[in-house]
Amino acid sequence: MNSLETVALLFEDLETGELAGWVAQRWIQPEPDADGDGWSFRDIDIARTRLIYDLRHEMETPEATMPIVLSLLDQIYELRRLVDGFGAVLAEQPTAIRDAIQAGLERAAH
Amino acid sequence: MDDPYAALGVPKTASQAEIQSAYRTLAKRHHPDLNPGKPAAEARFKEISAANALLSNAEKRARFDRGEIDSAGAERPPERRFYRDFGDDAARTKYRPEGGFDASAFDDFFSRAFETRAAQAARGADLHFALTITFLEAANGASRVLTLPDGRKLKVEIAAGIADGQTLRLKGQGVPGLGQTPDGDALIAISIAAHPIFRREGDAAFFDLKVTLKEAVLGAKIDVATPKGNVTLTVPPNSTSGTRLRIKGRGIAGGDLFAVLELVLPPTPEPALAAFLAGWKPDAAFDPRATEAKP
Repeated sequence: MNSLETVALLFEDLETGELAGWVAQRWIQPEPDADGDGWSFRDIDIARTRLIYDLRHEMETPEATMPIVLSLLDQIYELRRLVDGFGAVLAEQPTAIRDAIQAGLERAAH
Repeated sequence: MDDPYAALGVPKTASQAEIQSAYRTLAKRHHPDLNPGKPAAEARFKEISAANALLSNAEKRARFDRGEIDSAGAERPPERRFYRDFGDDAARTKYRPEGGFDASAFDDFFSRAFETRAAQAARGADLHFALTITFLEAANGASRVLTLPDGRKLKVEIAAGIADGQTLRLKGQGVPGLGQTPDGDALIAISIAAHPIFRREGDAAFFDLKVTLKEAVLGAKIDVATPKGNVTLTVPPNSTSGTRLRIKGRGIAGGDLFAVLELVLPPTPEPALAAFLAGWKPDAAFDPRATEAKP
């Protein structure tokens, strides 16, 4: 189990207070831990924490800008998921249809 | 030993004192010399000692916590799982945008592909634009040229008297229709910028006209600017502050313009005026507050 304190230790200069602030703003959404008074970070939450850390500490993204950045990122991931789903449906189509679509996509890319 | 914390049975947040205490307890229990009949004790003891050596050194402990060295103290490239490695999960679970995109997102993306024949037979789409015009353009009418995103220039005739928020429809100036279907329209939403002098109510326009005490009492002829050129306005004798003087047909699209008088006293004391008023007895005494409603 990865508590808030444990996750903060992964970084050289991340105070638990700042990390707790990210959770409070729901930038990261760990699950409540068994006691119900702390947080339990899953791998995806830690990866997202690293991303937010990079944005805030390495790239100096202003705090006020973060919700926009994260919202756009989340939308991109959602879009990628939708396009993936579309690709899966395409894969089930007859060869002739897939070829026609591939040719069309190549034309559209240029 | 992969995890020195597990080896000592302490949480990652354990203090130095807790680590020391755990180490001592375990060292006592597993010391090989105290466990001559247990071959495994030696390995366990080495593990505990190595864990303690790592964790009792603040610098090494921090580097281990950050994943820069392994539990044997050897350098290892930081293993990082990037957020995008969870890409699919990310979108499918809690980090989905508010409400996600519903199934109609596909319709949005692929609207052209999924259009029915009926939809294809429809006319071209309307294009929407916004145009801000001046008060005087709205009052007198104007002709503006709008450059569209595709480079086309569109002449927009604005009729005198157009209202704020009104939308002009230019037939056939939108997206061309497919095949034989009609072209869409261009819809232009008009907003009217406020004017520093003139105010508007429907087709009537108002402006404030400052007058001196002498002009108000004796009357005057004053040159004023209107939306349709200058005029000479006659202020009748004995005009009070707030009086509206109508200037016919100089408002919006044939409506009237009203000058609202505002009485302005001299900025500096006028002893002669004060002396006159002190000795002045009005012909008809009146109380300007007599008709006011009492609180």
